[in-house]
Amino acid sequence: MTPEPGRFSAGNRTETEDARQARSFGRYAGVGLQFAVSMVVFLYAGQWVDRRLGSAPVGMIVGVFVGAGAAFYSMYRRLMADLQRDEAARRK
Amino acid sequence: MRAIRSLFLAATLLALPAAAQEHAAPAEGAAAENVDIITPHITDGFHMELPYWAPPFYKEICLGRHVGEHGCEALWPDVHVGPLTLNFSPTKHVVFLFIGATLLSLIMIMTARAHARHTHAIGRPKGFAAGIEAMVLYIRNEVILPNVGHHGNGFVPYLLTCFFFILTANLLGLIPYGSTTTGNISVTATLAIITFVVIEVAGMRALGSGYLSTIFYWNKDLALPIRILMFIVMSPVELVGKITKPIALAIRLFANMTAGHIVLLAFIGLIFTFKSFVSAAPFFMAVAISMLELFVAFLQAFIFTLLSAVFIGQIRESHH
Repeated sequence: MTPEPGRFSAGNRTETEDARQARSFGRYAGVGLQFAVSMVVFLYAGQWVDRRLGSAPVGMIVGVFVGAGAAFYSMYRRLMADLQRDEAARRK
Repeated sequence: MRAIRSLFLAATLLALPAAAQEHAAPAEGAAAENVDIITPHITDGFHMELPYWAPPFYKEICLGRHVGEHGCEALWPDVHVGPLTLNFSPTKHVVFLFIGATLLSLIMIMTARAHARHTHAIGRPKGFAAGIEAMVLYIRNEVILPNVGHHGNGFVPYLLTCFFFILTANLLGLIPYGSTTTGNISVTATLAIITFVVIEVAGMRALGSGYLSTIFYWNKDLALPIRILMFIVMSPVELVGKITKPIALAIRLFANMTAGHIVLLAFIGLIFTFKSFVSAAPFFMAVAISMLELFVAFLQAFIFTLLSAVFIGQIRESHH
């Protein structure tokens, strides 16, 4: 029993709006957690630097801001890349 | 025959209050003592409940070694691997994982055979096989292939296995005497780790050496000192972004299954707390929540599969 070609194939179908929405939902579902965890990672890195250099609380504060900034930039980059991809797909 | 059946039913119904009183008698002495019915139901343990014909209609069996009168301990001793202490003894959830896997394998193999037989005989599947075909085709054509992208067929078997395994585990928790294995963080974490490996290997195969750019941020448009600074700052963030995905997958499934069961058990507990006509309210709420849980069992299996497919597609197309 082999299905005739094309019957079970979804290769050439156009993407539905639902599928597109589901994808963007999945894509940005982890952004919040990434933001929070990045800040915590850099907070601990800052504390570690403080312990080493005795510069408390400067390292910790700088760490939190650098972590938040970096996470924000990562999110921005991802959004821009997706935007460009969508634009390119629309132009095609 | 019918008379015997009615007699048996009547006898059982008459025996119920007696059994309940009998059961309540020792509890009366310790009236002030609260009994936690929720935690033992949702957590893992060495005890398992089997259906039993006589009141209280269940028989507790010990999967490990008997200790004292009612105690039950792990069957095998701990294993030390470096700083870790592990125990591989069978528990309630392990048993239900095996029951789920065996049941799923049997159902799916028999369905596939029936599907082939019907298609050969009348040109199309019918009955249960047609239903499963509809689910499989929906997940494949609407969820996996559009999200994974080109050559997505290779990921269909793994993602479908995930979907049906999680669905079976979720549904096993809804039947009487059952236990939700997906309400155990170790089980969902294992599923998420396997998915994580699949995602990363898919990325490595699709991107080749370009895979490193999904972890290390090396922007050639920047001046070298800035580039190094950005590399040091951004690389941990990208790595965190990679690791948080499976963590979110694991926690989402675990929390949804556990929370639903806690709500359900709390309502069932309220029925026995009120002990009057007011009990009707939590009774209907428990029925409603059961229906909701049935929906959630399908929904969470679907979401796990959808997100896995999205993550695989995302890493395969990331060329920036």
